[in-house]
Amino acid sequence: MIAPLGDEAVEITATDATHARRLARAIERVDGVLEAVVGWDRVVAHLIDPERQLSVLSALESLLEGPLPALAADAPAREHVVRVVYDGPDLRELADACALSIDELARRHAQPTYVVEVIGFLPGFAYLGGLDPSLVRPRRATPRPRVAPLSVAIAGPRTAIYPLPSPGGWNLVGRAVDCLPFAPDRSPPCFFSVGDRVRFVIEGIVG
Amino acid sequence: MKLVVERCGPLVTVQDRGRRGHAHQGVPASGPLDREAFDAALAAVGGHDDDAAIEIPLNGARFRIEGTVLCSIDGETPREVQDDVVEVPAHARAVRYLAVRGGIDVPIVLGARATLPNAGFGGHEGRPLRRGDRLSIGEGGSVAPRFGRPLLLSDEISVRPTHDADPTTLAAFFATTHVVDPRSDRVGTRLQPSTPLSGPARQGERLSRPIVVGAIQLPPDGHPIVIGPDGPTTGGYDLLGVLDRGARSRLARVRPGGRIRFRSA
Repeated sequence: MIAPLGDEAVEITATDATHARRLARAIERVDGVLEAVVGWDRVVAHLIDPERQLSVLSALESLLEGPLPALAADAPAREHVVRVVYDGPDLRELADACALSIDELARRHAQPTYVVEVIGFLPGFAYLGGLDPSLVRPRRATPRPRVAPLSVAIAGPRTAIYPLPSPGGWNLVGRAVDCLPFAPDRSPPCFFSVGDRVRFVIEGIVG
Repeated sequence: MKLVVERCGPLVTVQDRGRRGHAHQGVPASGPLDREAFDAALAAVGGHDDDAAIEIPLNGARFRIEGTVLCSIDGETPREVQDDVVEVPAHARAVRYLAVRGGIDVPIVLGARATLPNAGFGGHEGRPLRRGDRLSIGEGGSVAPRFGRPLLLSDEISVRPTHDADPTTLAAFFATTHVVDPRSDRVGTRLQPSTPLSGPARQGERLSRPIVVGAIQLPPDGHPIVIGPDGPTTGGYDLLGVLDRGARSRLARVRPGGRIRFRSA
């Protein structure tokens, strides 16, 4: 489904995160589209000019009638390795809640190859999907007023690295070493792109 | 030429029209809360489209100009200031703009001069201004001053409802009067409806969705938040609708404690 989102954007429904990524690649090439922002079940196309919303809507409708290009054909996914010291303030509590030792929690967190599903919330904040189901836990009931940058965190079926100091409700399990998820003077400023693969390596465990 | 801050409140920032095109990297557009007032100020001093000016919410501010420069507040008749003070008094409109011919000369970061304090970049040292800051003024533009329409105050703001907004909640949202919460800032304008709104009951955590400036979120406490220029690029709450640029300007003019209503565009 395609629908206006205010006068400066258009929202396009997707079946899942992978479909949303494929849609976004095609949508960002449509004339009049400034950028395409990927969500888990939709894409939002920001328009260059609100005056042209109708023409972009009809261009998107035509686009969705045809087959979408395959992802691999455009750009192969990059893989990043991020070293993590598991010493977060919520490590013990989370391990207890998961009925795991701290070592086992760290091992299971560093096991999968994650996928950057969505970038949002903060500049450079990458939502990584693929968390071990035994580590899935809700956000903290009360968010912290300040989470330290580079905190590695878990919430729901996802993990992430806080790029900047910010309020946050995720469970903090560790900190990334030698990683700069966002640098405004770098090109591109975001270290991670949607679709990238990310692996964590245990640098240390301080439980 | 320099502009020196002599007195200012906590949230005075350098803004230009913002850095659109980086939402896919989680970077909000920033830019003025009241785009119409910003544009009017810029036009009155013959500024260029990408010039930066000073955004001054609520309590006014005082600056000293070193050198000679044409200044305008909110598009009022400009005056040439020579080594003198510029007082920006508080106004019935909540946010004011001081534009100087030549623009505020701060580095361009990610395509814009706008300040994003939460991320610590843009504007003057990535932060709101404080007393004693000395900002450079650019070389004068060649554009003739222009004057536009007056900036009106309005207690009725138009909204484009989102396609998936709950009709019952939306009807309640339009039926009630809202007070602008003093905790509002550039991240979001918080509203206190006379009766808290109740959204459709949902279980568990929801998927965030990409959102836009002007989107009206409804958190579980029933107090809507209108996403501001420094707001997040994704959000997990239900959306009721979106304010277009003109409606956002009118909302930005309402002082904390002011009462407003919304109507469907």
